[in-house]
Amino acid sequence: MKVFEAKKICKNFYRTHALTDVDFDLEEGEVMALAGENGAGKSTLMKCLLGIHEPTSGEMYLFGKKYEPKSPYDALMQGISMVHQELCLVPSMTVSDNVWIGRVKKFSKNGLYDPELAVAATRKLFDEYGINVDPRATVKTLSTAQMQMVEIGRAISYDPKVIILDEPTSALSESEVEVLYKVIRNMTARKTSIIFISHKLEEVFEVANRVTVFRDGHSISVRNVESLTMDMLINDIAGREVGNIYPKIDVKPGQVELEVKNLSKAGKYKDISFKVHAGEILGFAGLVGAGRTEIMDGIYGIDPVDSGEILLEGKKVVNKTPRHALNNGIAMVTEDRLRRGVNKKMNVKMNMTLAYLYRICKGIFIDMNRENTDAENMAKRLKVKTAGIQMPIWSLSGGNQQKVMVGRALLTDPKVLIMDEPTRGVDVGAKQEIYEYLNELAAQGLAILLISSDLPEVMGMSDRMLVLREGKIVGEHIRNDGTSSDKVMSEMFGLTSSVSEE
Amino acid sequence: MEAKAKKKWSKDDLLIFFLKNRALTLVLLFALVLTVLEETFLTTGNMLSLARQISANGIIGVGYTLLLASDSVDLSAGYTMCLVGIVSGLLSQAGMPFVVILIVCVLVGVVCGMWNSTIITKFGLAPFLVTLAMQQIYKGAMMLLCNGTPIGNLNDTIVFMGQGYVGPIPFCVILMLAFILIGAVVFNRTQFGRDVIAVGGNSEAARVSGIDVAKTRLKVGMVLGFTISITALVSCGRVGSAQTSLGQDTVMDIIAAVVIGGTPMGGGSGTVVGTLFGCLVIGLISNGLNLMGVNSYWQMVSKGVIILVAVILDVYTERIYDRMRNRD
Repeated sequence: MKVFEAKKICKNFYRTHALTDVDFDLEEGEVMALAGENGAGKSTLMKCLLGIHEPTSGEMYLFGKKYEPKSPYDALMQGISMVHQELCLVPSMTVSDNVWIGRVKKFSKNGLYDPELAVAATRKLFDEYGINVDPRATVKTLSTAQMQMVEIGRAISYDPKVIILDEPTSALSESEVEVLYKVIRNMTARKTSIIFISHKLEEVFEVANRVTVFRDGHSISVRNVESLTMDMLINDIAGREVGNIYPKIDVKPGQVELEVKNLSKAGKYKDISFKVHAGEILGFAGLVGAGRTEIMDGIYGIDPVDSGEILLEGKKVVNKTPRHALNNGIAMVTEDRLRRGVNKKMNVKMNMTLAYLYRICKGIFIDMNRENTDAENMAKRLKVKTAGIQMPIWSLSGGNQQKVMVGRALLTDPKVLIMDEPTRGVDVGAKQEIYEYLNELAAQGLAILLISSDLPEVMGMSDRMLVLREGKIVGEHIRNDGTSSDKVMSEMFGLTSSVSEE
Repeated sequence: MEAKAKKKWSKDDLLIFFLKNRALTLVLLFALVLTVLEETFLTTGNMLSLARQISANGIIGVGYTLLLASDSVDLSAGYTMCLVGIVSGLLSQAGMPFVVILIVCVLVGVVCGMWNSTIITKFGLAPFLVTLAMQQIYKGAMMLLCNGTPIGNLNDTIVFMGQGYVGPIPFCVILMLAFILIGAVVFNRTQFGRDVIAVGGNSEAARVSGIDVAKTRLKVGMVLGFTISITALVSCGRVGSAQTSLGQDTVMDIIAAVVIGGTPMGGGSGTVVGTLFGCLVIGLISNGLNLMGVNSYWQMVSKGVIILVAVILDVYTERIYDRMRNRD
């Protein structure tokens, strides 16, 4: 029996198509895994299920009835509950108070709350599903795994028909994962359906009945796990068509522009060494959390390195703040455009000139004419679509905001340019334009570090590519050396199966 | 849904025009009403007294505009002012020359501002909490210095700052206009001014763009301290003595003036000239109600209401902006 069904779901964010014609269904009592790279559309679909996003078009059905949730609370009341990756518990309250949060009335006598009733109910619930946590314990004294269990317990306590688990194992040790699996099996035995999101592909085989693979906002395949191999799964996730959409032009690399030796940061990355030449695009592939952004933050001085050397044109430099890095000729377009990039209250011009302003000051005064001309020229050069550089930055599309960020970096006249996820949340047209800049800048002799979670992109645009996993470099590939995306994938995921031996 | 959104465009535009220029709109509105109701309003004498009334707020307003634009707030500004006033009184009593008094007073103000910013940035605390505590410290220090009694017989130059005239124009008004002018230039034309709104708008983005956030905040605190010191001298000079009650309403009035003037509570943008109009709005309320002979307690009530409306407008502006942002 189908518990949930989605038909032809489309979700557009302005010009970005996050989901295109996605069909999805869920049987009673099954575990459905969702797989795909970051930004493939998994979480967008889940947000539609939870009523956080309204689909642009398409329909959803819950038990055959039309389902149009208005908010996560509405979704919860209709039987869809989610356990988020980030824990949202109140640390100062007890386990049972957290489980029944917002529903104190249930355990009240004559209008007075009786915590003992809640504790008893919690104990009953936990015993039923095999969760082993003391209901009286204060949450802040628990381990992460126990907190996760409390969170799951709370999700179950609403007696939902569907539970969404978002990367529930990311913070768990192996033995704790086993306990989680047991709880999951107890839930499915009680006819609860589970949507299981995970980046660890082995887990899909371990716990799921079926798996839906997402790529670029499309649902690529729905397969039974029984007849699934790891190769098939990876092929589906990565996709085959790598190549011609990336207009990479070969540039003869010049001298070594940037070299780093044994960069380390406790808990983030270790012994990272590489060289980038002038005119070269060095790509960085890896999963989120593999340490790519962290290394760049280290080089650029956002979060300085613990140890190791950074050499710029053979000279040792120390970047303790972004200012140092900029003065040394390193610029960075940061990954998180909202948090670290755009200043929403400033206009296009001010956003663009933010990092290089000090260079055009006469005494303490800004050379306003120069600022205007430089910003105007840069906007033209990068083809920023705007009604004028005085327009507020938020009036621009994501792709054009990103161009402004690139402009901000380029105005500092860098020798090394770090691009962290330059095409994330950017529409196809702007993506192509950004690829063209990359070519153009490399041709001008800039050394470029390109980070992207879009594997075909980073493979297609880089001269050389490093693969990172858990803060270490685990692979290096030269463009067009015949490396398959499967091989890179298996390096990223850390598989030692037959795939990587081929 | 979409058709509805399109219709609202022009309405939003009008609203935003009003919200952006709300201080000017209010000034014109109040002036018009008062001109009609009170024939004494539009006399040279009353205009000059209005200008004198707002001059103190206009000076500190420059520093406070920078502060709010950098997404911070200072509740201790009033007591800092009072402390500076008492220091100037004590030094006058000791017979110090004006230059010494000026230097010491400016130092006291600047150091107070520095402390505030340093504690806020070093420990990552909320500015309102830190300055709430600091105001008690400044108040205590001030009372200790003067034993709780006001000090009369101020230095003549201080009295001139508050009461003197240059030609037909009060000196304090000239001083205020100079501060506003310099403030506007610094705010709009220098790297420092740009850094301030960058830090206020998105401190993380500012840091990544190579701006030293802590240093910028420190400088803002120092500038505020400087304007507080000068305001203290002008205010003491006007009444001819250093009162222990000086600056009690300052924080209230000044936040209202700056916000009405168009600098949002959350920072990220600001206008020094707008603050002047904001001060005018606050001044017009007192002036108008005085002319109409309204009981001073009612004046407090009405001022409170106006300030509330200003803050609501401030939030409302942000919401409208947000709505337009999301529509894009």
